[in-house]
Order: sequence, then structure tokens, then C-alpha cells
Amino acid sequence: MYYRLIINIFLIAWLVIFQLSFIRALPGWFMYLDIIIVLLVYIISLAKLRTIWWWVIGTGVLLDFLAFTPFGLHLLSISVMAAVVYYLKNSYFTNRSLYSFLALTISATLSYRLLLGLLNIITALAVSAPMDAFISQFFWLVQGRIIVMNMIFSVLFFYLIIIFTKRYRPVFID
Amino acid sequence: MTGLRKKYIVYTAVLIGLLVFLQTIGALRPAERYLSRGLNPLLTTIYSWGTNINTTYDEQTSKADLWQQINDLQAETNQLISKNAELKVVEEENAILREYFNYFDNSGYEHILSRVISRGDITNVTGRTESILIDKGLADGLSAGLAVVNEQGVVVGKVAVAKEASSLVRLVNNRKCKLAASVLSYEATNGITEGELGLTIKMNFIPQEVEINKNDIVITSGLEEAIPRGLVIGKVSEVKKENNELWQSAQLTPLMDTNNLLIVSVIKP
Repeated sequence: MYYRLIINIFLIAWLVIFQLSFIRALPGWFMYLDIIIVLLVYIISLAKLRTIWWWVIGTGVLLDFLAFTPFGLHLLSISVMAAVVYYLKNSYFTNRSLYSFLALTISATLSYRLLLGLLNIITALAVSAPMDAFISQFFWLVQGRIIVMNMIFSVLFFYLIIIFTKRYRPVFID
Repeated sequence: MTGLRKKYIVYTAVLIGLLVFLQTIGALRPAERYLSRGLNPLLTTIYSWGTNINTTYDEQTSKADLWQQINDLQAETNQLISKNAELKVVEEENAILREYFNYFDNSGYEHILSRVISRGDITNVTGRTESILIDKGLADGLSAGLAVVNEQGVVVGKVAVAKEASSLVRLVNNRKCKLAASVLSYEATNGITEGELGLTIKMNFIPQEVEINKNDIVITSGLEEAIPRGLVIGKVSEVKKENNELWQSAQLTPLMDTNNLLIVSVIKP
């Protein structure tokens, strides 16, 4: 029990550190990859509710501690994203095909990034700060690039899982 | 199953509310400090891996421009050689004057060396870094508004937000980083610099009557309480002067690469 908890905490910390330090420092479009969101989509799709909850809370809290947005914004955005993905997975994308994972990745990225942007705007209004202090002029272009990179990584991750587990199929069958 | 889901939703909402409340009253500060202090060395190391990849990538992609740069640099070197000779004389004078006025005792800056642990949030599409996170914060005496310089003393940016054990620095190419600036050769010239598209720096609000030339050096003006006068910001690359405008503006070239910063110094007033 405690052994698994420690392993999970270690993995969450490593994932957040890897995203914030390594991915952000990469050149070109690689910096737009949001590996946390993609891996959370797979965890939400494959793990038990209890594990999902710990991963969502863990990544959210750690991001809030390390990021420079008002505390709670990442935690709230990731929680809502997880709820959206969980609902879509159980209601619409029920088979574990590549297309389902891609659709879930897009939904997750959009719900997380848009909610984070919206909460930033609300924060800006709450503290009467100029909007451009919180929202970039390239907001939509950046979101587009993040979605593209997340989809590419999602495809790679899916095929990695296929190679190692042979549990999933890349197309719809039913 | 539905009951279980509801239970988790309630747990999450309560936890978020509780954490935000605890953070607001400052109860989470020690946890935040220890967590940041513990993770900062790891963040620094991993950030340097990414930066190394970035540097290698930049070197490969910029080979085509190297020949042009070599020619430009050759011309610039010749100019600098003659300038250097003039400066040698000034340097000797300066050394004597410093002894007289005990310059360093009176106005020597206090530096805090800091390591870069991450880039800030992705806000541009140019691929250039516009903000960085450093491993020093409120606990080290940092606060918003302090100037951050590189190893050559060139301003790289300004502390925007300081947390317990880390700070967000907006770099000079960031639109939100505004610095009170002067042109080196003209004592009274003041303007405000801000980043443009993550690539260059723009200096606005320069009075029309001032004559500014290409390659003039722009420094901090000292009008900001926390930033001393004389820190180099950039070099004028283009001057925009319209007769019907109240002010003129200038385009500056940053004198450092924002993508390869690993160690910076924060100047305390």
C-alpha cells in the first residue's frame, strides 16, 4: 500500500519536473508538448478511480506550488479536465482505440487550457489588472500548437502501449 | 458507481477549497518553501539538459547565417580595436578616479546569484524564451521589480513575481517587461523599453528633439527605485521618427541570447 503510494508520488513529481524543466527548455515545437495532460488522459482511461484522483490532485497541487499563477488555478483546471475526460470516456469513447485516445487528448487539452485561460481572465478582473498581463496575444496559436504536439505524443504513446502490452487496437472494430 | 463518483467530486471540491484557503492565510508557505528548495536542484539539472539540446539545435539551424555574421563581426572588430585604444586611456583615468571617489564602496551593487530552473509559461510563437523561473525568492530577499543581469552585467529582465523559494523573471524581450531607460550618450534621454514579439526590444516615449543613432547603447535610467542607472539593456538597431508624432521610438537588439540562460544575478538596491 505505502510502497505504491510512494512510487506514485515519485512518478507525479518526476512528471511535473520533467514538464516544467525539460520540455519547456526544448527547441521548436517540442516546447509546446504538455506531457502531463497526455499521460493523465491515459491514466484516466486505464486506471481505477482512486488512482486517477490521486494523480489529478498530485499534479494539480505540485503545479500550483511551482507555477506563478494564483494558487488553485491548475488544480481546478486539471480536476475539471479529468471530469470531462472521465465522462467522455464512459459515455462516448468507450472503446480503447487510437481514435478514442486522440479525441480524449484533444478534449483534455482544450478543456484544461481554456479553463486555465478563463480563470486567468477572471483573476485579472478580480485584481483589476490589465488583461494582457495574464493572457498572451498569441493565445489561440499557442493552444493550436499544444494540441498538435499532444496528439503526436498521444499516437506515439498509444503505439508504445500496444508494443509492450498488446491490449489495444489502433482502429474502431465495433 | 455514481455514488462513488459523487464522493470523489465532493472530496475534490472540498480539498481545493481547503488548499486555497490555507494558501491564502499563508499556512502552506513552509510546505511550498521546503518543496521548492528540495526540487530546485533537480529542476536546475533537468533544465540544463533541455537547454543543451536547445543550444545544439540553434547551432545547427543557424549555420547558414554564420558567414554573414562573420563578415559583420569582422567589420565590427576593426571598429572595436580603434575604440578599445581610446577606452584604454579612459580606463586609466577611470582607475584613478575610482580610487578618489571610492566608487565601489558607495555604489557597488549587491548581487544574488541564481540558477534558472525553468522557462515561464509558453506565451509566444517565436520559440524565444520570454520569461524564466529562478531558484531564489522572498526568503533570499528578492522582490518584484528587481533587475536581473547575466554574467556580463547585461540586463536580462526584471523580477515579476517572487515566491518563497523561486521567482518569475520577465525577460527584456517580453512585452510585459517595461524598464525605464536612457541612451548612453545622452544623459537626459529617457524612455521606456518593452519586449516586442519575443524577439527584440522597443524603446518608446523618446522626445522628438533627441538625436539617436544606430548602435547607440541603451542603459537603465535609474528612474525606477529598485534598478540602478547604467545597466546595459541593448543596442539601437533602428530609429523610428515621424514628424507628426509626439515621441520617437527605437528598435533595440538584445545583447544576450534569452534561450541559453543558466545562471543569472539579481541586483539588490
